[in-house]
Formats: sequence, C-alpha cells, structure tokens
Amino acid sequence: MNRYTDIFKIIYKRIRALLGRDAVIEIFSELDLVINDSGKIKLVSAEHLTFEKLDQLVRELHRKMGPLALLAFKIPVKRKARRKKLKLPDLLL
Amino acid sequence: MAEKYEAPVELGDGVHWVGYTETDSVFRTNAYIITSGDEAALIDAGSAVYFDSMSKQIEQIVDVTKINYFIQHHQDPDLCASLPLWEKKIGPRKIYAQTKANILIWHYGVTSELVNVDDIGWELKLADRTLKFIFMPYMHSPGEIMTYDPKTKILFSGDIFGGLSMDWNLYANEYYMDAMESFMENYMPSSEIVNENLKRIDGLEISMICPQHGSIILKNDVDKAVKTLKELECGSYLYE
Ligand SMILES: [Fe+2]
Ligand SMILES: [Fe+2]
Repeated sequence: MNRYTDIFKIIYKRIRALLGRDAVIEIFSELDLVINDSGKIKLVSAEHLTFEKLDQLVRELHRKMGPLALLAFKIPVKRKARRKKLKLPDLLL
Repeated sequence: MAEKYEAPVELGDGVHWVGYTETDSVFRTNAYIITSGDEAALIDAGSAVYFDSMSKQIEQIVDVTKINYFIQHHQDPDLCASLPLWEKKIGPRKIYAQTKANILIWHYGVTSELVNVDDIGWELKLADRTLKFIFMPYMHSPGEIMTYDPKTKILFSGDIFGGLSMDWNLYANEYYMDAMESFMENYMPSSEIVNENLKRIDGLEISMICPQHGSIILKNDVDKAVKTLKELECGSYLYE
C-alpha cells in the first residue's frame, strides 16, 4: 500500500463531513484522485498518492475554502505523518 | 449545500432550536429556547453578528420580554457577544453560568445579574421542570457546563459534541461523527479530561444531544457519539 494512502483517506473523510459527499468527490476527481465511496473508501488511483499530489490537494482545499478547511483534518494527518515519518506539505506544518 | 431553516424547530415539550438562518459559515452556531409557564430560558444566546436573525426566529415562538434567563455554557463570544444586545432589547435579566465563566462574561459589559450555578446547587427551577447543570471543566473552558432537561431528556451540550460542517444539517447525518471529531480535536485539551468528564453523563437517559455547533444528535446515535469522544485522540498530538 502506498505510504500516503491513509493520509488521503483521512482528508477524504473529513472533507466529506465538512462539504458533503458530492463536493469532495468532485474536488478529488479534479486532481485525478478516483474514489470508490460505496461502503469502504477506496482510492482507486494508487499511483497518484504521492507527496506532490498531497501538496496539490492541500493547496486546492486551502485556495477554495481557506484555512478552516485544513482545520478539519490537520491534527490527525500530522499525527499519522509523524508516526509514519512522512513529509507533509508546508501548509500543514 | 447546507439546509436552511427560516423558523424555529420544536425539539420537545417547550424546547425549540433557534439557531441562525444564514448558511454561509463553517462555524455556525445553534441556540435553544425553553418556554415554561410564563417565562423562557435562552440557552447559549449567540453571536452579536447574528443577533438580528436569531432574535427574529425567537420572536416567532415567544414574546422575547418573557426571557428571564440566559444559560451560558461558557464565556466565548460566539455564545455571549449578543448578551449586551439582548439587554438593550429586553433589559437586564439573569445570566446562569459557572463562576469561572461568569467572571469573564462580566467583561462583555453586561448589566444582568450573574448567577453562579455552582453556588445555587447546579439547577434552575422553572414552572414545569428543573434544569440540571453538569460541570465539564476544561471542555474547552475551565468553567464549562452542560444543561440537562429531565422533562424532555435533552442534553444541551455547548461546544461538547459540536461539529465542523459547511454542509450543515439540523440533525446529524451519517458523516457527523467525522464532523464532530474535526471540531472536538481542535478544541478539547486532552483525552484524559474528556474521558474523566464523560463519566458525569454515564447512565443519564438522553433523548437527544443539542450542541452549540454542528448538528443535533438523535437518541439512536447518542451512544456512538459518546464512544467516539471517549476514543478521540486530542491534546497529546502536540507533544508526540
Ligand atoms: Fe467555545
Ligand atoms: Fe462555541
């Protein structure tokens, strides 16, 4: 499993609660992140789950909704990244 | 797209939701009013910014001069900044809060009598029910309280059980636990404090939880919400 998969999943779940299911699917698919959200969340496009893609996603959420959007997932993402020793985008530091 | 409510919603005997009607905020607030006999108690009065829309909502169900009590779960501006505006409209009344909250509420320049619930036995007797106040220190304020209405079994929880959502619904939907975690982990100081305080509502019969932010949690989801909070990792992330 890609090392960033869990982090993309956390962001997906939190933004789904913040904006609704349709809105989060739209944002993810604009970045070529294909989600299967029937039952268990599955990120179909595993090869895309890179640091660069994460940086792009975080910037896009910040551009669209400002820092409040990041509040919705920043803490669990930072915790997960620290435990997995993963680099995070500047906006989440 | 957030749900829009132009009118108060009845939640139980004498209890209405009277949150503001604007749909533009991620940090929207709920307020509740209890009418009892010839008077009313407003719970978490609200922000100064939304005073007009909220007072219009309240006027639809009660003559606002009947509001004798403002129950304030803590001192933050999103629930207290409207207090001076209310006083201007209806005159000074009684503000019920814990001592440590009232000390700070005084700084809004309020002229109402500040009643410390910890000095009067943690309850407020109304004509047809006696509201019970539950101390929840440091969640998130040192003087935090919740209010329980034994008549309707509604728990008014202040910031506790609150959620962060732009896709707002009056009643919690299937994603509300995630919305609640988003809010709570940003505002609660530590898992130990959360778990210690939640013991105070163990065994309490709860028909619904009415928080000051986010959505109302109905009976079927109450256990799940309590469990989610008990397992929430908050505070310690700062020191890992
Ligand atoms: Fe607060
Ligand atoms: Fe609040």
